[in-house]
Amino acid sequence: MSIKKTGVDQQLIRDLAGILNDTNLTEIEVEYGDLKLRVSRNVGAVHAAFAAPAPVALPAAAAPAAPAAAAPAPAADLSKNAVPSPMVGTAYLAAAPDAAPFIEVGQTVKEGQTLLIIEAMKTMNQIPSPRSGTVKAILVEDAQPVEYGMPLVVIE
Amino acid sequence: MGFQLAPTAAAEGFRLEAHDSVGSTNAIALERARAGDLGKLWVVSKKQESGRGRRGRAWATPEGNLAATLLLIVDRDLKTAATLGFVAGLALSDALEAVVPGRVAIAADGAGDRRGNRFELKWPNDVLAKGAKMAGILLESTMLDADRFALAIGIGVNVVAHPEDVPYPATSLKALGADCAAETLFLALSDAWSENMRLWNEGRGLELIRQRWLAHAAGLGGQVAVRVEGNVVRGVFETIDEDCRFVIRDDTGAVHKIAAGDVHFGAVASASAT
Repeated sequence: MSIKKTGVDQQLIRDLAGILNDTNLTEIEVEYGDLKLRVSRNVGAVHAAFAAPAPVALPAAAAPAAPAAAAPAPAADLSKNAVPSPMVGTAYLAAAPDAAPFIEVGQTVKEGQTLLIIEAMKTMNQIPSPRSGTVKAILVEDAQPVEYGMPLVVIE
Repeated sequence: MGFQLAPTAAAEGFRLEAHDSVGSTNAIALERARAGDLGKLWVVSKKQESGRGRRGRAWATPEGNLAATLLLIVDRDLKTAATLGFVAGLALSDALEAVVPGRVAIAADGAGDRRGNRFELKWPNDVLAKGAKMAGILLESTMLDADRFALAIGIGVNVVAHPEDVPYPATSLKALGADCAAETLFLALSDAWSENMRLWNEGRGLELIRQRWLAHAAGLGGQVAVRVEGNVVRGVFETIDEDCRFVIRDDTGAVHKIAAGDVHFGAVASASAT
């Protein structure tokens, strides 16, 4: 198994798989430093795939096999720390298409600081951080449609 | 004269915070809400240094134009509150009708459009005169706690100047021959807002607002293209639905209901909306 050499945090994958299960999502993409990590599933099967910096083809077997059974306590904490979308709409990670994003993974944020904007019914809604902490994961892409309750950002 | 609230607005508990120059009236209004303001506060200025539009576009407010934001604290669902953007468009067109002298003919035939409107409303939140953008409305909100939102209804009007370097036709009251000060327009706007918000009636009167809005709608029944984050939907602008979504019927007869996007009319719909 080459996963150790890639330095990929298996626990992170397990945590994301836990969120995936808890939220009934089919896919989560996270940027972590210069690593981009996508975890997706099909009808109960969980797959993980890696992108940059050096794409690594990961055998499906490397993913947690039984996420429900394996769901460790940290996963529950991580999903508990996810900021849910208060509305249906379109998420924007920056104030303008060519502007810097409001937040980046690893950055610290203060309570009330704008994490992203959701446009709904022609209203640009600033979504504030519910607490001070560190951005662990950004779970949506720019201009992505979001559903009510969908986890947007993980703040720890 | 400085900015003043109409007596009708003051009587209904609206308050006024007037400035000569600010960064953004919407930003100030949201700051006030975060600091505990209870809403029904108008923040107005004759100049904005960093006015903004949809998706972070800049909105220029040079000296003499009007930037007015109404802050409301809403505890009902934001979906209903967001229809206040349509109330804002109607209030502004009513205010313009009230303060622009009758001799100032806006439309090419000298009176108005076929319905007698001198000002038209472009979905979702623009006001047009002679097909050119004269005002824009931007709604922004932030959550205060689990059930309450601060809603900033920003209204920017080209009173004495309009931008030349924008990818759409723009105009101002002055360019149309109407000599009207921002203060006068705001007085009328604060009055017309109170009236239209009464009609809206916490959202229960939305159908009435929708009908009024449609009577002022620009491009109704005509060819349009709506750009939604990279995709373009073309067809005939049929109506706005009960949720104030933009309803288009395309060439295949399929009906599209659009909640957010940029609308292009007529020839522009096929030329520059790609």
